[in-house]
Amino acid sequence: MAEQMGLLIDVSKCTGCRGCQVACKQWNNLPATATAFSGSYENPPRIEGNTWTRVKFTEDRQSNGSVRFLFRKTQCMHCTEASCVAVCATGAATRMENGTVVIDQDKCVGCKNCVVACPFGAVGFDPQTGTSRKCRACYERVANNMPPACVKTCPPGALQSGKREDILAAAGERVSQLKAAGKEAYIYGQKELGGTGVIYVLDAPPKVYGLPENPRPATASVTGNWLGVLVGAGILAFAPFKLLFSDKGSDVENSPGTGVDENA
Amino acid sequence: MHEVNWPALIAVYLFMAGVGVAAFYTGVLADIFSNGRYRRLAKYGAYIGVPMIVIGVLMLLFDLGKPMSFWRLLLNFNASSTMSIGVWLLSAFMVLGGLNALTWLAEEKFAGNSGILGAFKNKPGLRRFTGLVGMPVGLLTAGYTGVLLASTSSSLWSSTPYLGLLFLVSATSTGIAALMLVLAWRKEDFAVIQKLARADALVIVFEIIVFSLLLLALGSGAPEAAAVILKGSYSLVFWLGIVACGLVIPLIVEVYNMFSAKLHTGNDFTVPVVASVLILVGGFLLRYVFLFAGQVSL
Ligand code: SF4
Ligand code: SF4
Repeated sequence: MAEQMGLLIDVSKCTGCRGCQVACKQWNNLPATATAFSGSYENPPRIEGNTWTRVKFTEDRQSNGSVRFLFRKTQCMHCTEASCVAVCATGAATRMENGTVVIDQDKCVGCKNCVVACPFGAVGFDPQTGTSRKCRACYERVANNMPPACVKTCPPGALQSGKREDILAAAGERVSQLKAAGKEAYIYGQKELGGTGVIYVLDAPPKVYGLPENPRPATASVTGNWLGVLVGAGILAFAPFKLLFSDKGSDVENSPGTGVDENA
Repeated sequence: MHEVNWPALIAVYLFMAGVGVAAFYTGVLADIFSNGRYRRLAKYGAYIGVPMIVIGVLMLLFDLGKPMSFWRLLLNFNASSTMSIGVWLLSAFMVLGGLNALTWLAEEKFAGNSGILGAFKNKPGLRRFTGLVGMPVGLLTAGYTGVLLASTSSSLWSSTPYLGLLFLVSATSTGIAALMLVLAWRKEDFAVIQKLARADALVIVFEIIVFSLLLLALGSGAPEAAAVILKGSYSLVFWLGIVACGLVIPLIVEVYNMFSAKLHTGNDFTVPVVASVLILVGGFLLRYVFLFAGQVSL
């Protein structure tokens, strides 16, 4: 396996400036969207076909009544067990050799299955292109030894890119630092969904940051569901069909003149 | 919360696909188990099934972001993708069901001996083969409409193993209802309608069991998702439309009808027609509510 790419998001350094959002739009030529004030500086309200990354703002009320303002950059996690790849019927969603998950815009037919399948809500449908689109971890930039646009722009250095193993090591180091300073610290993405390309350093539990604690691939219950279908088909074939229709009951014969015509 | 990615058109598609394949396999199963006594059901099943599936698939294509690129779905097979499996099931069903329907059409009065239809005249082997293969393909297709929803991250759809089964059983009920309606419309043998109503009553009992299993599993595995349909904004449609209209009332009507038939109240088509219409409405609402409620909890 080729070297896996990694992207570190250290939320403890994020100031919520949203420079990454703008850099992403610029590098990927994505239009701005008109939005209305929602009561929070979080904007736009969700990831969409033309918004591939956004900083999620969380107001976490503490037990002493004070409020912590938490920022987390969200985007595709580049999962190893990628739900979007698993459900895509055209083969448009694929995992590249370096672990980057991309949606081939020529192959995508816009069925939106990946949009409803992604455990992180990271894919959006773009009515303009008729396709589903998402963060592609600046695949071409990385291939040319440049950091992704968001990493390049981040003023406080909350983002870092490189080989996944180096990123994991850096995350581990940062967690020890935070813990030494008496703070909570967690790594997210090391094991989740087979290990994700994006690794978070969190200073509050994943749940507080709106991350699923035990994310499952979208196909997790498919085998069970198919089994149910097979069992059900067997039961139905027996009852009612075999039970009722193979009985030599009197219904048909006893209704004079209305018997089913064999040669109908 | 996400916006709705799969709109109402998809609920219509799930519904029509279910009715279509179920009418088809109901007809084939009734025909083979009875050694041909219910052959007419197989014919009507094919006549209902094929157009339903074709219209349903057109809706599916219409909902694609790039409908004209639909052929890309046929260039690929992804075993882990329920949609990919479904594309192939639907394609197989359209070919098998289409050929099967042609063997019936060829024997209708208006069909001549020449032309395309003429070629399908007196082809019992082809009819039997397409029926026997199309029947399991149809059963799987009916289940696939539920498994498709289960292969997502929506907790309502994916946290239990019962959605495919529920859609299969519900589709069977709607397929039987569609057959009853056609028989009533053609003023066919009342005894056959009675037979179908009895079959349907059993299917509804099965459906109620599956529904209960699903709701129990949801209640423990994904209580918030369960609450959306049981207590939230969809609860009224759920209890009135799906449970009362789609399950309980038709079941009562069908059971009542079984006994009243014994009392010889004559061949009154009203009762089975009312039951069938209620079942079809309930079956559609089931898909509609699950489709939308599932996207609320996504
Ligand atoms: S986060 Fe979503 S879009 Fe990204 S690889 Fe995972 S499943 Fe696919
Ligand atoms: S929307 Fe495109 S990328 Fe997503 S599953 Fe469908 S074809 Fe694949």
